[in-house]
Amino acid sequence: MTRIWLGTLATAVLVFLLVPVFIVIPMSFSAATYLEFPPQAWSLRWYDAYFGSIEWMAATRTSLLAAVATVIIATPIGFAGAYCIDKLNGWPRNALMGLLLSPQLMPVILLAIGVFFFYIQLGLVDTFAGVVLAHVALAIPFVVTTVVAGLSRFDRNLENAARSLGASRLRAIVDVVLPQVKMSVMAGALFAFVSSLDEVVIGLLVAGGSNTVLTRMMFMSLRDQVDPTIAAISTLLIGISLVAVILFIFVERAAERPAAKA
Amino acid sequence: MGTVAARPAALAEARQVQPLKPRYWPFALPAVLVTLVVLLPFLWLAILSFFEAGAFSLVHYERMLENASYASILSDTLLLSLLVTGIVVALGIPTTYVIVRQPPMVATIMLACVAIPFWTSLLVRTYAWMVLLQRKGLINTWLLELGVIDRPLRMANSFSGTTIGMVHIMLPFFIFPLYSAMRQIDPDMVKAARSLGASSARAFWGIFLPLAMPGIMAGALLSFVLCLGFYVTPQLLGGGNVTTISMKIQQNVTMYSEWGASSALGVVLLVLVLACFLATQWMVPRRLRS
Amino acid sequence: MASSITIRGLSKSYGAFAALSDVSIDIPAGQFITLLGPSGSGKTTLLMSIAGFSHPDRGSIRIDDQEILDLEPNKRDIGVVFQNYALFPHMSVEENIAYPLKLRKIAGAQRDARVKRALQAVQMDGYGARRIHELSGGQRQRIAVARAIVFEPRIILMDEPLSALDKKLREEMQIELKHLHQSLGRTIVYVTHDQKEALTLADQVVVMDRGRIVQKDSPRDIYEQPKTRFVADFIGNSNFLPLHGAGTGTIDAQVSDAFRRQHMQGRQRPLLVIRPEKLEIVPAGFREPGSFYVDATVGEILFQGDLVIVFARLPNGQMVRLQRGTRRTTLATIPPEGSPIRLALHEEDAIVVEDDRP
Repeated sequence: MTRIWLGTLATAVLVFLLVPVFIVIPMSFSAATYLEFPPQAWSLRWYDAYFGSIEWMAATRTSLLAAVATVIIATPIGFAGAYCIDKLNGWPRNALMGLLLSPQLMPVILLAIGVFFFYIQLGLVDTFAGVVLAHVALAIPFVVTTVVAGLSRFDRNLENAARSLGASRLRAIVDVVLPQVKMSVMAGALFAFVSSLDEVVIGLLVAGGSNTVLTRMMFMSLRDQVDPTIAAISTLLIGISLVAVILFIFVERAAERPAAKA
Repeated sequence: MGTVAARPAALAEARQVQPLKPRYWPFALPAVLVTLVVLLPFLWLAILSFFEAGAFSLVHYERMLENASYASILSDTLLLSLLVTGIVVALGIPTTYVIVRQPPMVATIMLACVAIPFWTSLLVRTYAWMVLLQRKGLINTWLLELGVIDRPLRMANSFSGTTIGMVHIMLPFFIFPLYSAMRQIDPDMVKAARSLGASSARAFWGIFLPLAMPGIMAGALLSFVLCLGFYVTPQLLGGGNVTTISMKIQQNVTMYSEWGASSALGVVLLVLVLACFLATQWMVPRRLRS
Repeated sequence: MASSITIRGLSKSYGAFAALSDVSIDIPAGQFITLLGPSGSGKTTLLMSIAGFSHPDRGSIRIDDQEILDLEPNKRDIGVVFQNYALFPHMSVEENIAYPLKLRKIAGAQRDARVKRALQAVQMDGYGARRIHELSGGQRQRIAVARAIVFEPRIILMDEPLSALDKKLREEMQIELKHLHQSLGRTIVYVTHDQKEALTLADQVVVMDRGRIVQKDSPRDIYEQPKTRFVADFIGNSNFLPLHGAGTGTIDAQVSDAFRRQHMQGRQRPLLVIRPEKLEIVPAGFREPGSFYVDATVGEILFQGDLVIVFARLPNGQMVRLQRGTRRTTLATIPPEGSPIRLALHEEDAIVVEDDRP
C-alpha cells in the first residue's frame, strides 16, 4: 500500500517539476496579447516580435557570444586547475579546490556587488570583457568539478608512461590524458555554456548598455510588464536546455563506460 | 662503465645537483587569478562596511539594527528559506527513494524529468510560475472553472507564490546529490534488516534513513544556503510583498548607491551562510560516527 | 649500448617515514639486477627515482657518469615497464609502440621496421593493428615490453611487470625476459617481491628492507650465504635455531673448530639458519663430527605433489620444517607421524647470522 502512495507522490512531484517548464511552450504560440491557456488561436506573432526586434536580437547575440567566449576561456584554464588539483595531496589540494569552487558556494548577489564595485573603478561596467570575466569565474567550478572527477578515474601511470617514452608534460597531456578524460572536459564545457547563457544576477548589474545580455532584458521585461514575447524566447531556451540534457546524458554514459584497462 | 675504484675521482669533479622537484602550481595560476578577481572585490567591500569616512565605524551595522524594515527582511528571508527547504526535504526524500528503487531505464527517465527543469533557465521557470500563479493565470482559471474557489487566489506577488516558485527551483538541487548518496547505500543492509525481522517501514526509518542522513543534510544545506542568497525568484514572484536580503542589497546598490549599507548587509548574509556550513560540519561527523 | 648506473646517498622521506635511507649502489652496464623486498622496503621508490617519477630529497644518480637527478623524466632515455602495463587504450598496439619513435621524429620506413623488430622480439609480430582491450594480460605485458625497448634505451626498468599474471604464464614470461636480456644486452633493473622470480631472473639480487639495501649478491650467494636474519627469512623458507643462551641445549653441535672460529665466535648472538631441503635424516644417536644434530618428533606431513613438507617438533616445542622430493625411495625414509626423528645439518650447509631480533 505504501508503495502506491510513494509512487503517487513521486509522480506528482515529477509532474510538478515538469509542467511549468512545458506550459510555456503552447503559450508562445498563442495569438492573444494576454496570457491564456489553452490558447484560443494559434500564431507565430511572438516569435516574429522576437526575431524582428533589434534589441532582442542584439541581446541574444551578446549572450551567445559571451557564452562561447566563456567556454573557450574557462575550459582550458579550468582543466589546468583540475590537473593541478589532481597532482596535489592533503591541505594544498583541499585549499585549491575550495578556492576554485568558491564562486559557486557564495551567494551570487555578493559576488555581483563586488564585481560591480570593481568594474566601476576600472570602467568595465557594461563591457563585453567584463561580462565574460565574471562568467568565466562562475564557469570554472563546473569544469573543475567534472574534470577532477574524470581525472580520478584516470590511470596516472599512463601519463608517466608517456613521459618515460620521451613526451614532455604538455605533450603527454595532449596525447594521453585528454583523450582519456575528454568526456569529462566536454561535460564541463557544456555546463559552462549553459551557466553563462542563464546567468542573471551579475548581468543585472554589469551587463547593460550596448552589451545587455538576454537574461537582463528578459528580467526587465518581466518586472515591468509581462510581455508574451518572453514566452517565445523561453520556448527557444527550453529547446536549448533539452538539447543540453540529452547531450549531457550521452556524455555521462560515455565517460562512465570503462576505459579499456591498460 | 668502470670499476668502483675509478668512480671516486669522477665523482669528485661532478657537480652537485639539486634533485628535480616538479612544480604544478603554474597550471592552476590562470584559474586562481580569475577566481580571485571575482572574489576579492566583495571581501574588500566587506572590509569597507566597517569603515565610514575613512575611519573604523560600525555605523552601517547600527543603522541596520535601528531600521525596522531590516528586521522583517531578515525574518522574511529566514522564514522563506526554512519553509522552502522544509518542503523540499519532505518532498525530495520520498521522491528520490522511489527513483533509487527503479530499474535503470525508469530511473533514467525519472532523473531526466528532474534534469530538464534543472537545466532550464531560472528566468524561464520563474516566468512560468508567474504565468501559472497570476490572478488571471492558469491555476486560478482552472480552480474557478472547477468551482473550487469563488474568487481568484492571490498567489503571485506573495509569500506563498514565492515559496512555490522556489521549491520548484530547489528540488533538483536536493534530489541530485541525494540520489548519488542513496545509490551508494548498500541494498544488502536493508535486506539484512528485513531478514532479521524488521518490517519494511522499520527497515526504512531505522536503517536506510540514518545511512542516507549525510546526503540529506548535504542537500538540505545546499538548498537552504541557496535560498538565503536567492534574488531572481523572490524579486519576480514576490512583487514587493516579499523582500529578501539579496533584494535589499541589490536595491541599495542600484537605486541608492548605498555601498556601506549593502556591504554590511552582504556581510550579514555571508556570516549566515558560513554559519550554516559550520553547523553541518559540526553535525555531520556525529552522523558518520554512528 | 648499455649503461651503468651509480647511485650514491639517495634518501627520501615522507614526513617521519623514510622511504629511502642513504641508498648507494653500483650497477655495471648490461647487468640484470632485481630489487627484492617486502612492500614498503623502498624498492619501487628506488626504481621510480631512477625513472624520474619519484623525487629524492638528497643523493645522486649517475648514468655513465652523467648526473640525471635534475633531468626531466622524458629526457632520461630510460624504458619503463609499469606494473599494470600503462598501455594507451585509445591507440592500437602499433601506435603504442611507435609512440616513442614519433616523439623522436623517426618516421616512415625506419619507424615501421623498428616497430616490427620490437614486436618480433616479444613474439607478438602481426598484432600491430589490434586494440589494447582485445589483448590478454600476458599479451599486454609483452607489448609493454616492446614499447619500452623500441627506442633502444640504455636502461630498462621494470616494476613488478609479471605480478598480475597467473603462475604458469609468469614462469614462461620470466624465461622470455631472461632471453630478451641476453639478446639485447641492456641494463635491466627489475622490482619484485617474489623471491623465486628474483633468483630466476637476476645476475645480481639486491635485497631491501625499510629503505635500505641489506645485501647485494648473485642469486646463489644470496640464497646460500644470507648476511642477516632478514635476508635468510625473506629468501627461501628457513628454520632458525639460536646457538646462544637457552637454545644451546636443544642442538648438539658437532661442528669443527674452523667452523666455530669462522662463523660463530665473531657473533654476539649467533643464530643458525637451516634450509628445509638441507636437513638430513640420520639414525638415532648418530654423532659424526661435522654437523649439527637435533632430536625431534615427527609432526604433520604435507604432500604437495612435487615436494613433501615434514614438520618436526623439538623438545622445546619449536617446529622445524623439513623438505624432501617425492621419489619413492625418498618417501620411504620419512618416519610416520609421532615417531622420533634425528635431524642433521652438515656444517657446509649451515648458515649462521646475527640474531638481531630483540
